[in-house]
Amino acid sequence: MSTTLLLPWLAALVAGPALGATIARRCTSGRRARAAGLAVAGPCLLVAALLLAAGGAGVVTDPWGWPTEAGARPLLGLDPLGRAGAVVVAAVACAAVAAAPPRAAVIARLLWLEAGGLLALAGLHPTLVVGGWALTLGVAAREAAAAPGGRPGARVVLAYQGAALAALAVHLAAAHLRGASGAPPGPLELGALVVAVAGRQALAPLHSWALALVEGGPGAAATFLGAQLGTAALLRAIDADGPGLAPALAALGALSVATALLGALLGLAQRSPRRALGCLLLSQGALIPAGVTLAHGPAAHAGVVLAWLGHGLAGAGLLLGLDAIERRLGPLDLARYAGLSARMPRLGALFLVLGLALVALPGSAAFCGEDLLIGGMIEAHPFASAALVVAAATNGYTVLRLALRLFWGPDRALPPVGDLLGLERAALTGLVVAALAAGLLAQPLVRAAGVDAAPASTRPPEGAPRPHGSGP
Amino acid sequence: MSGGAEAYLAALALAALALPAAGAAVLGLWLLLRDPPSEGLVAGLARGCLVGALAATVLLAAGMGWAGVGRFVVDLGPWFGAGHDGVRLELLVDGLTVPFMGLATLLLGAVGLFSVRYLHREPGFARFFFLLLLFAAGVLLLATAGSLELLFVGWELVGVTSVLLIAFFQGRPGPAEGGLVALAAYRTCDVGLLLAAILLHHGAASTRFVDLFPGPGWTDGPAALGPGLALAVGGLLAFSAAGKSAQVPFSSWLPRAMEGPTPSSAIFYGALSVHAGAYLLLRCGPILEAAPAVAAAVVLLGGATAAHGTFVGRVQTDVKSALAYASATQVGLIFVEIGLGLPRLALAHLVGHALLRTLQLLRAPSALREHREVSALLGRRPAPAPHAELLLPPPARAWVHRLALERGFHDAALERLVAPLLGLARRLDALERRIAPPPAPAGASVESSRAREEVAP
Repeated sequence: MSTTLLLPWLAALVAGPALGATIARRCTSGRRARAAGLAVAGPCLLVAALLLAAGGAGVVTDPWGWPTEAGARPLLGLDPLGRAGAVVVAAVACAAVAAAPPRAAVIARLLWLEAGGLLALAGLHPTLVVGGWALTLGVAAREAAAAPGGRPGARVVLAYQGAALAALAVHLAAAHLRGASGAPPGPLELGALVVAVAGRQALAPLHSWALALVEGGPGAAATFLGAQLGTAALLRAIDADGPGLAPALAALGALSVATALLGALLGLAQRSPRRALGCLLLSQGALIPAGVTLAHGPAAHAGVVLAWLGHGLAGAGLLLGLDAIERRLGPLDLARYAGLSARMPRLGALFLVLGLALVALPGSAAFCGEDLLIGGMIEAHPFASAALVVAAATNGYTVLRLALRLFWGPDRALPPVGDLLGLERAALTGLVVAALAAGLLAQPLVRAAGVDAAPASTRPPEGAPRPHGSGP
Repeated sequence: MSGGAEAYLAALALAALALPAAGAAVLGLWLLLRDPPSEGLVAGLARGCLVGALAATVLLAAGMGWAGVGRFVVDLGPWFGAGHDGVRLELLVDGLTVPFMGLATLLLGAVGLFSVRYLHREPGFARFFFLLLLFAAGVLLLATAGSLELLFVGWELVGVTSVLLIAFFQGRPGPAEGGLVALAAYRTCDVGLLLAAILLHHGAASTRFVDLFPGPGWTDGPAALGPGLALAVGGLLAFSAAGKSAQVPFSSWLPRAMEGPTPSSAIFYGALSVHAGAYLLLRCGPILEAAPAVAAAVVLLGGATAAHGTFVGRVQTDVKSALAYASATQVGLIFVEIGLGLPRLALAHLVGHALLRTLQLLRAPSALREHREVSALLGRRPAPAPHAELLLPPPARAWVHRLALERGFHDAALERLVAPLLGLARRLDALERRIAPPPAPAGASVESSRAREEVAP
């Protein structure tokens, strides 16, 4: 596909959700807003999937660009990893619009989040990336504030993500000023990158906003936690200044491993289902930046794509499932068995499968991704690999405890509620099928996405041992 | 072996594996998308898949005998990967695989047929057979896996289906609690298996069994590993096998696993799941041969479990718990045999024990009636068997009795082990809540109640 032909697709991918959000906000009926949202989110998902499947290796960019001293700089483009991220964002948005309560404000917020996420992923100019982050930050803070008693949570989201946004701006400005001089990145630039990625990815100690956002729901913003915008920014930085980023990568790798362990540990102590799910998302999500920073070899890129898909799709499905429960029954307590399977058997089954897909059920995308990521970091970082294995095993316990406590037990005298409605069911089933299909068809997916070749950013550093594998 | 015979044998091995997997996929998708199908349809599907797998296994064994093939590899290409890393779909069929496949398919078929009547009109009828078929696919993959990573996939499927069948009865918290206890043991032992795979990647550059064990037969060792690596990997494998096979100190999950329906208890904890650890050790036997310290530890572990199981089993007041500890005892003895380097004896013991224990567990619900019938026939109550504890010196008997009643104080010891971890988690959570206070409950809000109205039926 030529770059000229791609321009309208990329522009539609970014501008479509923004236009859809504007239209949805003006709809007088919630159902119309949802129809408008689906009319935009569905085609966006199709475009993102086509770009992922047909893009092959390399970056697809628009032929025109922002004029600079060094010539025109492309505005929009997606590399193979960015395309995987775009699929996650578009799929999550589509499912969330379908499963969310039909209210114009909610639908509009979801579409704005999609627009911001896709802008941050596809934007090649620093202004566009910062704009995408700022848009998602604004909507997430608004979402948190809209939740009852959510103002403290909104403040936490604003403080942490605001700091990350400011750090990103500093990093990009410093990189721009350094220009093409060939000088290595300075301490300010490196420090800003660490803060930006850690803040955006919810890595310890800048992780509290993610728990606040998840716990503040039911809401839309938390479902986009799997968008991994911080990881996308990190990958962009690695492609630009790979060897010069070694100190920042080491720091982010250590923070990722610490976050995976911390999230797993915190998950064991939770009584609130939302907070337990937040801990799970925190811990499992940290495996991806850990792989980006610590893993080497072509497997790392393939692993990132698969883990990104697995975490994004399954995590969003779990949040939507929990939203569906809480919209019907209000908050629940994990200290008691809620016994929901009698009333919501289908949601129980979907929730269980999504939970297992999040924690790398064999056959799911997360399983393939984690296997490749951990395989890619064994040589250089055996202890970090072992720590991630322990975190993943602990998360497996937490996710099953969450599902059993919600759906098992005697049918308590709860308000009369029904199982999933048509669109909710379709959304969650679609996410389950996608998370499993991406794992079962991992090899064709990786090949189509063009991530089975070793890019510069994942080559082992000079002197590092060659990665081994079980395959011939 | 000729190309035609090879293709024929490979197709049979694949059919045995694929039939239950396809059945589980069809039933699983049906349950996700539609209301549960009729009992007749579910039973027909399960019967077809399980009997088909049994037939394929019988033909495979006959074909291998006829063609004089002792071992062959079925390479289906890469599942996922990039560069030199990844997982290949590669099956290994040899003298260990075929007896275990035969045992598994025979028992799965028998238990499947038994369950059609036993679970008649049970609300979770279709769910049970979905899990049984998924378990069958998992256990057959475990048996035929050509690498440690693929074996792990089967191992995980067996674990997940085990937990979900223990928690089969959704209306009571007891089964769910039992499932969680089993899950905790499984996840702990999974770490050992994964770390062993990581170490093998790191030290041996491969997890394929044909690379690790180049000998012509499954009992021919030792493994192509250095002594240090063999010690570390063997230790981790023994650890994970102990967890899966309910060996000391993990044995407390086994009686709790009896909360599930009787047919699943029989097939999982009398026959296949509880022997998965022993199978892993048999498959990786050459590693134990290269690491005598690990072999000695396996003997000690098995011996301790056998002693623990036999004493604790004698004070149980229900049949299924007593049978669970009897299983642990026999599996402990199988571990001893493996550690002593007697793999063929261990395999024969495994097969015999699985068959007998399945029968006993399937008959457990009618044990009381049978006891009465035997008493009526004899005209007196049957005399109890001589008690092993009479061999102990009198002062030790009371102590052992108390130890048996408390199930070896395993639960208390594990609680002490886990308590600091949970304490740390709670302290960290309290700190977290101080930094970012959680919002007020959402249930009372206008937005929430409005949303609730929108989804009320």
